[in-house]
Amino acid sequence: MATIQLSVPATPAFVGLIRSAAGHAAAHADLTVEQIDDLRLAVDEAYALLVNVVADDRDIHVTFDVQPGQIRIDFHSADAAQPIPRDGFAWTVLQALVPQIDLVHTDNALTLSLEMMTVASA
Amino acid sequence: MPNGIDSQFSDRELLEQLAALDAGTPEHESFRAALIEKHLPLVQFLARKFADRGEPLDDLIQVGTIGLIKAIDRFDASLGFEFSTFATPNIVGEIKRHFRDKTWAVRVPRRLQELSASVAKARDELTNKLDRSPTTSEIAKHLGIAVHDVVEALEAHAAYSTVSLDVPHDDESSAMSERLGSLDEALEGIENRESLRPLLAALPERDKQILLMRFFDNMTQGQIATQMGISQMHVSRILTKTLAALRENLTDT
Repeated sequence: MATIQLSVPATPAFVGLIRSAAGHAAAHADLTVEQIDDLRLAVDEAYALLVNVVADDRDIHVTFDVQPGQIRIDFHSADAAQPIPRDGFAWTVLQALVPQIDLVHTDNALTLSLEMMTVASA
Repeated sequence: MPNGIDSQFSDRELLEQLAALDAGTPEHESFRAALIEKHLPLVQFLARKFADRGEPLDDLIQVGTIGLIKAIDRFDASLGFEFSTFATPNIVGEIKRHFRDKTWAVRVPRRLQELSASVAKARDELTNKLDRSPTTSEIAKHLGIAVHDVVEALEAHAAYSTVSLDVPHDDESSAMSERLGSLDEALEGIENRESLRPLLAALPERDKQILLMRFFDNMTQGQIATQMGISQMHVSRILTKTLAALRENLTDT
């Protein structure tokens, strides 16, 4: 249906931009407003996790893949020197908010993906 | 008038008495209370001027009264002003500060505030009707507006500050403190739990409870809302605020 791409410097300053974009994109996927609230929270956490492991003169690339009834958000950096901790509080929060999370980290290339499907039956 | 202080005292007489007494003494309190009571109509009059801006009149009267009390405590009769002349800007200032601090965290156009209010209403109605949270397109259809307007309104609503949600919930606190034992259990296996524990412990009971329900009991926002007797939107705001605070404090340490 639609793919939206944004690249932002890896600083906390742009979390609002990404959160806002996620809200709009999720609305087009026709998620429920409760899911959109959860997704916005998840995006805050995911973005914060990446900002912590990517140098702030580098970019974070965010891709929103919007399909009818579902959305996938990929956070990608080619410059993630440190791993994202999977035993931290933020990870626990992410897992509770988003049904499908993928984390791929090879060398310095890191992709964190969040996927959500609508619970609204048509 | 409390403690039999004659209502026929003028402002000047009351204030002179007040100035002559030591703060904290029962007499001082009585004169202070008499002054507050005497000027409550002024507070109500000023609060009503702000009544159509989306905040409950009672709240405005309450903050206006704080302005009045500050004015009483700061008033200096030697400057020669009438008390009401001095009190009015103090009361209005306090009410305006309330709007600035405690309602819309950023300036949101009135159209969007109104839109946001109707979207919030539709959201409640549809949640009851569908027995689940509605989608943005369902809200749009219900209100006869465009989906992007709904999204915009939801965003605007997120800008509505959470400060006024911080009211204490005394009657609920005892039931909640029973849950405190589960904090350690919830933090089991979390790497930075040593730095988290004091942060979580410092949260208001209700916020902590909601956090545990959402992230450790895996309840949905809707289920939490039902159990706590508040709206899902309210749950969402509390979670947003709590997580942001935790994130900020965790990175600081």
